[in-house]
Amino acid sequence: MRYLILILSLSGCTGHAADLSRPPTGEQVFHELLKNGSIHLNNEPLCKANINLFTQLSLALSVSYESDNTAIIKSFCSLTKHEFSGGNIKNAWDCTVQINENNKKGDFISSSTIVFSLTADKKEFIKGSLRCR
Amino acid sequence: MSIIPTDIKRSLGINISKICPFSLSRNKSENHCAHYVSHIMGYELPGATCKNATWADKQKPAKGATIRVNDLFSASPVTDLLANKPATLTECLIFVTISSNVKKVGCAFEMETHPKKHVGILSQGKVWNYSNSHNQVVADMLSLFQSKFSNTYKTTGNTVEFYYGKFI
Repeated sequence: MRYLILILSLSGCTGHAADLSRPPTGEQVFHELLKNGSIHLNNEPLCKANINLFTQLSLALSVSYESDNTAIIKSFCSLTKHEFSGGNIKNAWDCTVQINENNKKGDFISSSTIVFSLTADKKEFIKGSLRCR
Repeated sequence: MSIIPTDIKRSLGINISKICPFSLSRNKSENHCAHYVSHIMGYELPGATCKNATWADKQKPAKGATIRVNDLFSASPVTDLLANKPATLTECLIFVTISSNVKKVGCAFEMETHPKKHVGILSQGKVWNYSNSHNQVVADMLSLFQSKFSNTYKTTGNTVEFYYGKFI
């Protein structure tokens, strides 16, 4: 009985811990980004602008519209930490979506980068973590 | 008396990673124009910087630098169309973007967040700026800078506009 309790409590602990060897999938990254499109960027200290995230994404994604230029989208996540309000520091995933506009020769024309953090366990968007450049 | 640091000349031809100790400087896909200008001029404004780009960078002791062109534009005490720049103002910031990305609010201009925007430092007739195509600092004659970006940023339904801004 004592062993059973030990096994149950151990499995309970591991069930709550984030598996840091498994980064978010691409679908999770874009799902969380788009799900939070209505966030107003004036509420994001490192992405301040008088528009919401949907508008920022529209600007970034439309750069090669009806043009000979091409837009290349790169996205990736890396393990990081995030300081929540109250100074609580936790593991998180920093996810980057970068859109590069190049001309026909491949020369740099413009770049737009959106970085945001996802919680390590549920892979959910962390408000206040947006960084735009 | 110039307020541009004398070592600006030493930055000619070098990669941003030689100027900036943070991880952002190693990303060749980014637009480093505001990043370069801010490191040279010592601008670390509230908002996005190379230092607060990641948690690991934030832990480093070095000073960061502003990385968004529109943050520099809005912090500049005087901005106007380059055509209106007083002839006596020979050192300033030079901005370029598409017409839809700047709005006039009252008497002031506001730059928005369209990706087609660039900034450099005007000094002795040349615009010191970061060439993202060549991943190095260049110094273009103002006329060459204007013709280069008039072509690069040409967009249907917009004109390419140049602004000056007094140093922050």
